[in-house]
This record gives sequence, C-alpha cells and structure tokens, in this order.
Amino acid sequence: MVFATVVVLSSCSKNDDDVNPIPADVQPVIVLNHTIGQETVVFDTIKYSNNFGNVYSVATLKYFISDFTFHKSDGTEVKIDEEYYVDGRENSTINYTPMVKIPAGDYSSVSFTFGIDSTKNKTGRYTNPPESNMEWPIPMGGGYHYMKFEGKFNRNDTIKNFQCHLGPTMGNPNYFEVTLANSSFTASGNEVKITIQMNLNNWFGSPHVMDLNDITGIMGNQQIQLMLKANGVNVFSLKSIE
Amino acid sequence: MFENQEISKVIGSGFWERLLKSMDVLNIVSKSRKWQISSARLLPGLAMFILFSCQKENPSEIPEESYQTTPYELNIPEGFPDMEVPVDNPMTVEGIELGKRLFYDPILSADNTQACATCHNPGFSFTDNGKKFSVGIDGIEGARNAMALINVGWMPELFWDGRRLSLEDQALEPVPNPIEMHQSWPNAMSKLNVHPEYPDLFFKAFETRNIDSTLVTKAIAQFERTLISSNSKWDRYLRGEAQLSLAENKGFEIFFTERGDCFHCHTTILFTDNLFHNNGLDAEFTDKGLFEVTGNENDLGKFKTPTLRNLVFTAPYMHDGRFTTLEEVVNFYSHNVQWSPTIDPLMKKVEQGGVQLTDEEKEYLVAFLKTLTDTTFINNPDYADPFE
Ligand code: HEC
Ligand code: HEC
Repeated sequence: MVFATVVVLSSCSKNDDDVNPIPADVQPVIVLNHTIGQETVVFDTIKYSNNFGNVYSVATLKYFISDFTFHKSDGTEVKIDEEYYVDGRENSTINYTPMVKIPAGDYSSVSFTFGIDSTKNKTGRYTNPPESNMEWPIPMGGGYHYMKFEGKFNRNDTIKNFQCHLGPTMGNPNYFEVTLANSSFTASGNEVKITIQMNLNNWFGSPHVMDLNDITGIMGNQQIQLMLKANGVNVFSLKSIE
Repeated sequence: MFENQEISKVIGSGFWERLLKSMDVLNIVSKSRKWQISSARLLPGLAMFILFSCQKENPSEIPEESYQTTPYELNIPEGFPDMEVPVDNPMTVEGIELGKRLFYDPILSADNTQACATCHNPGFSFTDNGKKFSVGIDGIEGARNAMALINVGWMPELFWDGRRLSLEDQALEPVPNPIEMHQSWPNAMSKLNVHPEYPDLFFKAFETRNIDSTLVTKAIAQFERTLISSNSKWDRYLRGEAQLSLAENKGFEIFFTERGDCFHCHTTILFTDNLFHNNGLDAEFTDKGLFEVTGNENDLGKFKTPTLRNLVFTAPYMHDGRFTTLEEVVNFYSHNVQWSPTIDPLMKKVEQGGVQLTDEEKEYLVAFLKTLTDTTFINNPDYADPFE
C-alpha cells in the first residue's frame, strides 16, 4: 500500500517537473544490500556466526534511514529531508528513489542518518502501516523504532530469540550519522545508483563484541542502545556508485 | 499482496500530535505528511471521476426510473490509518443499507435459518454468542472461533489464516460453505431475484435488478467497512475525555513496555499489526494456520493477530477458543508459552514459559485490556438488525 502511495507521489513530482523543469538534475537511487560478511542474507536459517560465537538466524529486518546528504568539497551540501522504511524481506523496498533529485556535479562524500532524528521521530508521524507498526510506545518515550532486527540463536542446544530493537529510549537521540568512506562521485546523466552494504554481523562486532543472549528486552536499556549505536557506524559501507 | 488492487483511500488525521500535547509527554512537531495528503486528494477524486464517467458513458441505457446513489462519507477516527476502499465498490448510503439487510437476512442460507449475524452477533461485538465453535445449518461444528468484526475495513487479509484478500472476496465464502450457510450461490441468487423487495434495493444501490453474487458481496463489504470502534475508555483517555484508574494505568505500562510486550503485535490504534505470528500456544499444531495457505514450513502455526478491542464481549479467545477468560490469556503469556521452530522471535523468555508477570501485574494488565471495551459500538443503531 505504501508503495502504491509512493508511486502516486513520484508521478506527482514528475508532473511538477514537467511544469517547472529544473535542467540537469540527477536522480539518486539508493540500493540496500543486506549481508552477513559478503554473503547476501538468507532469512530464517540458523547458520550465521558472529564475533562472540553465537550461531544465529535472521527473521526480521525492518528499519528507517533518513536525511541522505550529498557533500561538496566547498563545504556545501544537498540534503534530502526524507525518511525511508526498509523491510529486508520485501524486495520492493530495497531500492530507495528519493522524491527529489540532486544537481549534476562533483560530490566529495555521501552521508545519511540511521534511524530518524529526534525532531521528526514523534508518535503520530505515521498512521499507516507498515511504518506505523514501527511504533516505540509512549511509556518508553514515544516515536518509532529505528530498527527491528530479530532472529534466533543456538545457546547450549536451546534455540532462543533475540530482538535487536534500536530506537529513542526515553527520548534519547540514539540515531546516528553514517558517512560512507570513499564515496566521492560525479553526478551526471539521468541517474546515479549508490549501492550500500549493511553487514548485519557488525552490529555485534566492533568496537563492542555483543552476546545475543543480552540482545533481548533492550528497548529500555540505554547502555546497550549506546553500544549498538557505536557498532552501527561500522555496519554500513559503500559498495558502488555508478 | 494487494498492490495490484485499485483502491481509493479515506484519510485519517493526525490527532496524536494533539494527544501528546495534551499529555505533555513530548514536544510537538508540526509535520506536513505531504505524501499521505496528496494521495488523499488524488484517489477519492479518481473514484468520483470513475463514477461519473460510468454514468455518462451509457446515456441510452439509463432507465426511466432515476438512479441516484448518495455517496457515503466514511468518518475515519483521528489517528486511525487510511482505509482502502476498492475503486469498483465506492460506499453509498444505499449500498450500506442493502449490505446490512443482507448481513442479517437468513435468506442467504439454504434453509433460511442462518444469517451472517447468526455467527457475528453485534451484541457480542460480532462474534458467535460466546461459543467456542460455530455450528452450520446442518449441525456441523467448525474448528475455528468466529472472529470479531471490528475495524475490519482496515484488514488487508481476512480469516485466521489470511486466505482472503478483501471483504468482498471473504463474503463469497460463508454462503456455500458446507459447515456454515450451505447454499449454492445460484440458489441464493434465484431466491433474491424473485424476492418482493431485493430487486428494487439492488437497483437503488447498483442500478440493476439483476442480482448476482458479486453485488451481494459488494453490499455486505460496504456495510462491514462502517463497523468502526473508536470510542472505548482508552480512546476517550487518548482524547483527554476520560481518566484511567491506577490499575488501568499500570496495565497500560505493562502492555506498552517490554514488561508485558504486547504492543509489538497488538500495535497501536487497531491493536493488531494485521500480520501473522506464532505466539507459542502449542508445540505441535493440529491447525496449521498460515501454512495451510502458503505451504511454507516457516508459516506453521502462524495466525493473524486479532484486535484486542472489545475483548469483554468476544470470549472465548484464540483461533480455537481455548481460553474462556482474559485471566487465562494473561497466564498463558506469562507462564505457558510453548517453544516450536516457528515461534515468533518477538516472544520473550520463551525458555521460562513467557514474560513472568506477577499476580498483581496480571490484574493490572487485565484491567487495561478492559479499557478497550466500546459499548457504543455494540449498541450502535446503525449496525442493528433491520428486521427487528
Ligand atoms: C456458521 C458461522 C458463521 C457464519 C454463518 C458466518 N461466519 Fe464469518 N466467520 C466465522 C468463522 C468461524 C470465522 C473464522 C474462520 C477462519 O478463520 O477460518 C469467520 C470469519 C469471518 C471474517 C474474517 C474477519 C477477520 O478479521 O479476518 C469475516 C469478515 C466474516 N467472517 C464475515 C462473514 C459474513 C459477511 C458472513 C455472511 C455472508 C459470515 N461471516 C457468516 C463464522 C461464520
Ligand atoms: C508475537 C506477537 C504477539 C505478542 C507479543 C502478543 N500477542 Fe496476543 N496474539 C497474537 C496472535 C497471533 C494471536 C492469535 C493466536 C491464535 O489464535 O493462534 C493473539 C491472541 C491474543 C488474544 C486473543 C484475542 C481473541 O480475540 O481471541 C489476546 C487477548 C491477546 N493475544 C493478548 C495479548 C497480550 C495481553 C499480550 C502481552 C502479554 C500479547 N497478546 C502479546 C500475537 C501476539
């Protein structure tokens, strides 16, 4: 349903463009690859190993990224003020085409926010699913989860659940900015395609090695939220810009 | 699953901002919600356009009697999602009236004894009178608990296993179902077509006296989309019109934190995410749930999250009606959750049998669940039996 809405929108913006053409703008397209190491995630199979030594599966991967920003070497930037919801199981959501284009030219780097910044992350922002299902309840500070990453792991031959839920614990700004290394590029032609890799293992890898046994009921645990936030900047890398 | 369906949207409006302001919990950000609003403007416009152009396209076929439907303006309560209404079944006052009548009319069953309302009784929030399983006209009992019809207009997938993708499509099933109304559609059609009143009522709603199953299900679906509950104590609390008791408030916190962790599936305003989960009722499954539809091993024992609105009227609980009280339900989530390979990853402390609420916490939680009671819904004259 959301996708239908997006289609309506992009056709709206196209109409606007016809009326008011801004020449030489380039459409950014962001492609998200979800991996464990270099391998594309296969859902629901307990077979991945993290640094701690847990053997685990991925069942759910839903998250928001926002505020993609294209930096120029003169210090100016083009910021796209949008949030985007990704469901790793829905292929239709892993290509993100923002509603605005960026001017052609040279850019020195690309950054974005993981989660939603606290001025926007307020209960009531989304009334429609799937985004509304990301709610972070009012008694826990309100707003929306940045991420629901859930699965199962094997602990001493018992299969247990983990829920890596990140969000604004009691209003704390646990979102973070990711600047992609080596992301200079020249925007030209109709489209620039930026492929980003999200290596799920790194959520538990560095600087903090995390045991999945501790990744349950963490929505009220600000200490763990901060550790995951510190690990989070190492989760994303640039795969290609073309 | 429903991307290809043409829909129009009826838009809710943002009351959360005002709620939060009134509760003074967080700062308020005024937000444009631009894309939602733009689609709202576009799509209903589109629906209207299609309506009008249909009428104009066949001027020669317009019968002498005047055919004039009254568009029904669906009132989406604040904070509720947009409702998707199929473009080929716009809601009209006449269509809803007809749908209500059909919903209550036993003419749709083979021996004229059973209506939809027999198993979906408004006094029980449209469930089957406290029964565990419903009994069809031939005295055969089904194997699933009749579902409450509350806010069904927001449900993209119908039935416990989600096998039907629209209310129109769902309504095709009970009539011929051998353990329900057990009447072939052609038989139902011939009864309706010779009825002294129905042909005129269908003309008023759909401009034809030629009744078929598609029109019957369209009318029923229109009626069902009006079954909206948004006036429980909890809703009134959100609107600043009611206070929660101390116990209810504590239950509210258990529900909406990871203490009870109910909100992840029974989400926000509808109290359902409309998704499918195995919440750990069984270690092995007699009813395989979503698996019966998808054939996917990963779907074994998954069922649609039911709404928790009006629970006090909808006992017994779960797809098989295994629990008769809310206390039993809360006990289950606290101590009796069963592990199986498809158990939902959201279920906490499964190895201990559940979230381990204390007796006091269980009482609070049940007190909160009872704030979801909406008596204006079950007493709403607009939903009442037109034959009474
Ligand atoms: C004999 C009892 C019986 C009759 C008669 C009956 N239903 Fe039901 N209804 C049920 C049961 C039982 C279920 C759940 C079945 C399942 O999930 O397989 C159900 C489910 C539904 C649902 C799905 C709700 C949801 O949340 O997914 C709708 C809608 C519905 N019925 C509407 C109707 C309509 C319309 C009619 C008349 C045309 C009707 N029913 C007649 C027993 C009945
Ligand atoms: C993992 C998702 C999930 C969580 C978490 C969850 N539920 Fe449920 N709930 C479900 C599903 C799915 C069903 C239907 C299960 C079935 O019938 O097989 C259900 C059924 C129910 C029912 C029965 C409703 C009816 O009409 O039959 C009640 C009451 C209920 N849950 C309350 C709660 C409470 C209270 C909590 C928190 C302690 C909770 N649930 C946590 C998914 C969940």
